[in-house]
Amino acid sequence: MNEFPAPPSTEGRRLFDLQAQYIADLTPLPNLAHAAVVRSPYAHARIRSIDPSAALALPGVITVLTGREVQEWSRPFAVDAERPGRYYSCAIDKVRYVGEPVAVVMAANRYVAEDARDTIEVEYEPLPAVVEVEAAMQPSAPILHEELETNVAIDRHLTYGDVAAVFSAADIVFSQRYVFPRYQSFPLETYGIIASWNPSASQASFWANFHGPYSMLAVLAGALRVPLSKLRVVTPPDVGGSFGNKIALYPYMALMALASRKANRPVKWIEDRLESLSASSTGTDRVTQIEVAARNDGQLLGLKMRLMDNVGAYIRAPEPGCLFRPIGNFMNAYKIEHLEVNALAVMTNVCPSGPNRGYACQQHYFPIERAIDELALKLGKDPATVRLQNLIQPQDIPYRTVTGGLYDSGDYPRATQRALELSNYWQLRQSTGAAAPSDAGVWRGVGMAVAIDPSGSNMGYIDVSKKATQRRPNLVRVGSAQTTRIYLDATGGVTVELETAAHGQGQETTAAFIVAQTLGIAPADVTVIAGMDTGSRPWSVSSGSYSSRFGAVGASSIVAAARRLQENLLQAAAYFLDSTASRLRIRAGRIVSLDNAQLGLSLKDVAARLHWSTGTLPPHLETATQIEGTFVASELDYPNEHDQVNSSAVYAFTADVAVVEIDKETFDIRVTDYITVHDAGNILHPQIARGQFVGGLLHGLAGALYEELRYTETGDFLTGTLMDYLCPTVSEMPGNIVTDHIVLPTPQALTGAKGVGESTAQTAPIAIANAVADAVRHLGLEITELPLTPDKLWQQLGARLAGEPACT
Amino acid sequence: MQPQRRTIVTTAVNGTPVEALVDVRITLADFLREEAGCTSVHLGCEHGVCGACTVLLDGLPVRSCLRLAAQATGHAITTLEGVMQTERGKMIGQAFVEQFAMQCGFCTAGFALSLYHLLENAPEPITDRDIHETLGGHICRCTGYVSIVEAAKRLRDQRG
Repeated sequence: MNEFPAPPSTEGRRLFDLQAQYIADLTPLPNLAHAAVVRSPYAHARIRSIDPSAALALPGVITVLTGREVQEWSRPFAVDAERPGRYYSCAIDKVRYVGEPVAVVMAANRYVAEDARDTIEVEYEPLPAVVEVEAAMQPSAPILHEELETNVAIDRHLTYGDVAAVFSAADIVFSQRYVFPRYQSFPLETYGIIASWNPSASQASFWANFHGPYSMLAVLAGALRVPLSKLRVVTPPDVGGSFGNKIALYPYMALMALASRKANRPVKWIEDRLESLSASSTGTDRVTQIEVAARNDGQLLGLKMRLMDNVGAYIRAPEPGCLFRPIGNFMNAYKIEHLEVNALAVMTNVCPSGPNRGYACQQHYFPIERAIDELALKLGKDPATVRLQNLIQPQDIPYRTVTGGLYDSGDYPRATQRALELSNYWQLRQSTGAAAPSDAGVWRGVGMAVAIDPSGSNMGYIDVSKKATQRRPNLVRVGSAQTTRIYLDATGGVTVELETAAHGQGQETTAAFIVAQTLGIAPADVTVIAGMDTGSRPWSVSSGSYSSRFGAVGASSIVAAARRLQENLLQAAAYFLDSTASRLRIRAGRIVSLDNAQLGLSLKDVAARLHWSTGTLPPHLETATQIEGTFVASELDYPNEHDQVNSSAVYAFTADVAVVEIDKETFDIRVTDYITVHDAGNILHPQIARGQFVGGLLHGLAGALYEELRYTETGDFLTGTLMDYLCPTVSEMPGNIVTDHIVLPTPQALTGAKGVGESTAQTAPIAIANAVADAVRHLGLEITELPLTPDKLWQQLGARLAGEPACT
Repeated sequence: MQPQRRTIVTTAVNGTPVEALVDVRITLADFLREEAGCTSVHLGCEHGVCGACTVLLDGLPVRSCLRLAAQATGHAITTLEGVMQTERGKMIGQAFVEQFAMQCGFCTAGFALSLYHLLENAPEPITDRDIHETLGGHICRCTGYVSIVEAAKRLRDQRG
């Protein structure tokens, strides 16, 4: 297969050729109006009145859209929740978080639109607000959506195995509360939309940096009260990062479609950074109460978990994915057969939540992996030993988890051992925590984490949000599918159309490499059409770039298409050469006969004949140059009556070790070494895969130590700039980063590949937290929440150390 | 609301003289993108921290989101469009493309311009610390910086 070295970055080349096209660069329609969004300064308030007259009087202002028209022209967005609020793209009579859209101004340019925005008078009646998830569940809490009489949108109880039995038989049972913070991955490019409403056809066209899942377009169509076929969404070739955050673009697509309808002309809106931080989307913050049952020898027996998700002011699709996406891998990589989960989605007066790199798994594994460290300590064992003891063994794979997941491939102990070796873990253990030299200026710690990394989400998992009796029997949502279209042109060139809308994952480079390898041609001879256009390319509701699905699902559809083209070329050559396809091979741009060295045709000749001689071709070759390859992930199922479901197409594995140093005077935390070992099946492009591992590390590190979207108790937003929301720079990255992988191809994908994009983002917050816990445990400090900042450590440690000499 | 005042900006963008009547309040970044066709200038934060909008003003890196177009009068502006006309710019592009020193690419022009300035101006030897200080003024959300540092070191070694 590997005739050619992995090619350099196609996407990067375009950038340095000055051909990049991001949404802000586009003017696809004439006569664009520019929008600015009026937003709520209150976390919770009734809107008494909106007076846009001053804005409308400004030269250059076209019109103003308010909640009145939004209510008239659209419906609330659909979401899978028992008690959702009525979520429109714009506040109607009440605002429920700081930054919530209240009106949209359209003007000749953005400067004028923003001037006008500041003149719109909105009269508010402030209401008490609630921002913490546990507070919002109290009977006395302010209610966001009065008609619901509660802030709890979902309250599901899931039971697997015999939890009561293992808890009563356990040698040790303990409980702990953990808090995973609210942060977003901060794509450097903000949201951007150009929307055009066609009144006579009730049709909306969008150019937007939206990248799926395209199931969200069904939600959008429902809100706009049009059939899906009346939406066209074009994603430009270049999208400046998302990490899941741009999945939640669709409410703004609705808002801008309605703005265009009001203005009767196309509208362009590019979000600014304050809007992005306060009102786009964020990862879900979660409080978990976890109970662990184990034997004294370290054997894990069962878990009870109460998951309390803060989904913000409105539960918004694809939430409650944060609760249910990892259902098949709820037990992580451990052989645990007994689990009880109480899954709660709670609405509070903060920005609605959504997918963020490592969606759901970050939140889910943090309490499990922290608790395993605690268990090990309680038993006087090393955390690595307890993990190795409980990992699912390679001979058990394929392994069916008690929650319904099918772990398809992997060797978790081997990957874990590799991480321990590469990090020199056992030796480090002798010199961290209490064992560190007391005269050093730092406290030192080492910590680890392991994680199952699910990729290629099964649409069906979301229905676990409903009791089996409440599921819709007439719509069984199951699967993950993708189609790739390939054309062979008359000169032998190959063009590939993706339906994924990538945002930095190098999918064009990888697609060309895959097709070139399959056909035995140079990657440079393969042209990949980037971006996406629902008006002209094949797609389905599961299309898009999300849930790390490209390697297993998306790329497998490319393989499927390329193999069919290969077969067609052989069939065509057999016809032209009067030979049989099974005796022909493609080698270095030629089709050659295994039986006669003289017999052969160049690919170019075959391509030319397929195009220029169409009138003479037999029926089976008439469409030989136009291929659609579809890949449908197998083994995916619909949740059964026991709430079991194989929630993802494939499951990768990650084992990480972090080493930290904490300055004894400043409490500054530095990650000095980070070792990450992946079991992700075949690696499709080594440099791109490494880029994903290291990029995931950056996001995990950010969540562990720096980034947090913070609110006051009354819901005022505190982190609206990069001076308050601290994104790591090169200086904050670990000095020593080691990435490695073991390769056990998955049988579930034609590529043999599993996901690589989210894995380290899931493990890094935990490995770092465990390392910090190791460093400071001997000082009596427990680590139960993130991010770990110098001031938080000081608040706990400083008091303890007061009166003692510095540098102890 | 006062009527908007306008002013004439007389500058050179990537070596080409530009004279334009603009709102006094238009930022240099918006001017470069909308009036001068330099779409390599990307706006990440619009408050001077992320570095994506970095351009060279008389050869020095500046944040174009924090300056007004009017302040460019009498100065020469260089963006990635200009840098890519130089041999060094082409070397930077090659190194970034081969090292995969970008993913989404939104921050890349800013990194490239600051590196260009370092490679053009820094006295020998360029240390690892110099590289970290140069790259430290920019935020990248995709790469985790490792591949960017590798590209920068490769360019340093090629400087000769």
